[in-house]
Amino acid sequence: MGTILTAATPNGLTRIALVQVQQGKRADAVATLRTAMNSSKNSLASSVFTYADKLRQWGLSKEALEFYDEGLKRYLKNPYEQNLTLRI
Amino acid sequence: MNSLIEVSLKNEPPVKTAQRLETLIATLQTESTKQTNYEKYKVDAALRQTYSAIEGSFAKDVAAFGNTDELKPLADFYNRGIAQTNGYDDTAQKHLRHFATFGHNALLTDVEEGALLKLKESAFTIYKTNLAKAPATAQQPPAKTQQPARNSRTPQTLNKGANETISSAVDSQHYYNELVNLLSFYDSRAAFDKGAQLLEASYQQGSDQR
Repeated sequence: MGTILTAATPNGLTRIALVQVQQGKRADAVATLRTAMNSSKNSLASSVFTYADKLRQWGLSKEALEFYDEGLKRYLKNPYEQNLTLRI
Repeated sequence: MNSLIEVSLKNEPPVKTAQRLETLIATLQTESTKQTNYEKYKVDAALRQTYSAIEGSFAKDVAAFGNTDELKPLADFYNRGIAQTNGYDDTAQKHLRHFATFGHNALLTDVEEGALLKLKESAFTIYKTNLAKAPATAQQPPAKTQQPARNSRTPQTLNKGANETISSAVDSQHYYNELVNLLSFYDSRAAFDKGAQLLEASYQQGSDQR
């Protein structure tokens, strides 16, 4: 029994984004990752930081910085129920 | 936090990263004052994390990769922060020591010196102010009490001068500690002439007080 990759899930969208990065489609990859982030039920800052970390690992540091900023904004909206950790 | 610093330094000048992180600290401090108990603990933990990221990885990256054009605005930014921090209360001390540690780790000697100088001056101002208030109470003859001979159960008295109150003795100890810190900094940089000037100036200040 293998894992079924469904494009609609955040995990599937992240894999699609990785393929887009490998094809050199940076803007498309960021858009796909953003869709993955928005479709995720987890709205905590750490979730955004996870996607930002992926972008950083793929070498898209400028786009990663925008995600980190967004994560910080989310964190500061409610710092009492979240952690300032960039990795889960 | 280290990933954020790495990405930010790749895309922006270090002064922008410093502004971003110091703004985060200011916001968290404001939030921390509003809360108590568990919420305060959570925000304080995030504050400590941010402080250590600035003093650790950010400062080390600045020391390793910063060039002169980038470091000048960064030093100016921190020197402005030092100038704006006044007083010797816990918050001011925390800020100034943070700036000094950052300056030390980022090899920004003028920032470190500025922070240590400000700490020394603030401690001296407090000492001077409290000493001026002291004579009214201190010059009254001490009440004659039957002081028992000291043994293992009698508390040791604070080592203070004849005209000093306990408060001014504590303040002078703070001032002395800051002076020693600054002197150690000058010694570590082999700036012995500056150390000598500092001692001379502090001796003059002390003579003026007496």
